[in-house]
Amino acid sequence: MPLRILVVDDSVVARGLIQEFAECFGHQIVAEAATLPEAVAAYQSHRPDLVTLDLSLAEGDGLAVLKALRRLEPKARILVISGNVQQAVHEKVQEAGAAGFLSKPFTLSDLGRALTRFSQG
Amino acid sequence: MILSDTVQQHLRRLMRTGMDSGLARLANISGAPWQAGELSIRQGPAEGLRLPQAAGPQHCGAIFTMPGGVFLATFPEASAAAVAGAFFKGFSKRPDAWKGKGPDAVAEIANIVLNPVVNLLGDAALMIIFLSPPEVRQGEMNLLDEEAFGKLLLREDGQAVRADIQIASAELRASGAISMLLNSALAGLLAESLGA
Repeated sequence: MPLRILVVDDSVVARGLIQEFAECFGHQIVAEAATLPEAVAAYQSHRPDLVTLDLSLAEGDGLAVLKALRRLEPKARILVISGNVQQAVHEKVQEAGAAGFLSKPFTLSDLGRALTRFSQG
Repeated sequence: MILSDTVQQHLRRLMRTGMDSGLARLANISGAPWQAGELSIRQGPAEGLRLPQAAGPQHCGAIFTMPGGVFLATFPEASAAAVAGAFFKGFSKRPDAWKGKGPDAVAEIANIVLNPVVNLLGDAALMIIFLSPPEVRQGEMNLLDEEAFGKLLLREDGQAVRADIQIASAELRASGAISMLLNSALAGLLAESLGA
């Protein structure tokens, strides 16, 4: 099943690559956001099947976005995509309810595998 | 003196380990091997740690802040173009569609490369560190350096620690530099953790 995806990342390059990769697998990017307020507004407007979330954002770190989205919709499915691989961060992200973690840099097949998991479940 | 010789040795080892991981990521991103040069650590009044004023070639830089510290990643313009070009060629099916996004790509790449260093620093200081999003800059090296120092929130003592490492890829004919600036508070935290 194709996913409707919200991409939250401060980097225009990362957002573009995620879009390009996701579309290769037949998924659709319904919105992009670079800050916490943008992410919350986009989530409310589009109710996506999946959110991909970077942890470094200009206004409010990714962890704050993760918590805000899960408050908004406890069943929100959020795939954290970050270059930060600090163990304590992973634990916080899991505690906050992330559905998965993909570390940067990622390849087309890395993202494809992750998205397939969500589209099947 | 903020960091003792022993702590500096530990910090050097930690940064080396982090940079090795970072450069492995950079090799993956750029499709070419990268090597790191000597790591230098200097400390003292922040004013004395800045690069001297001197005209030089244009660089593309990305500045990242964290509580008590700043990272600056710089590439000479030709190197930045080579790294960004290799990244788009290796990762995107439409490398030509990214015209004008070279500096943004360099910033994203720098973020990915620096994170292993930041993660190790965070683990050592027993704190979670999120790097800020990069601020992309273009200009002469000493101006980028000055801006990075301007973002370092110094304590009253005005002391800072500066670590620099040069990186290069012969295959890509590219080079760059990573600088880390710490104020005395973060340096003190690291000293406590690493000096034991």
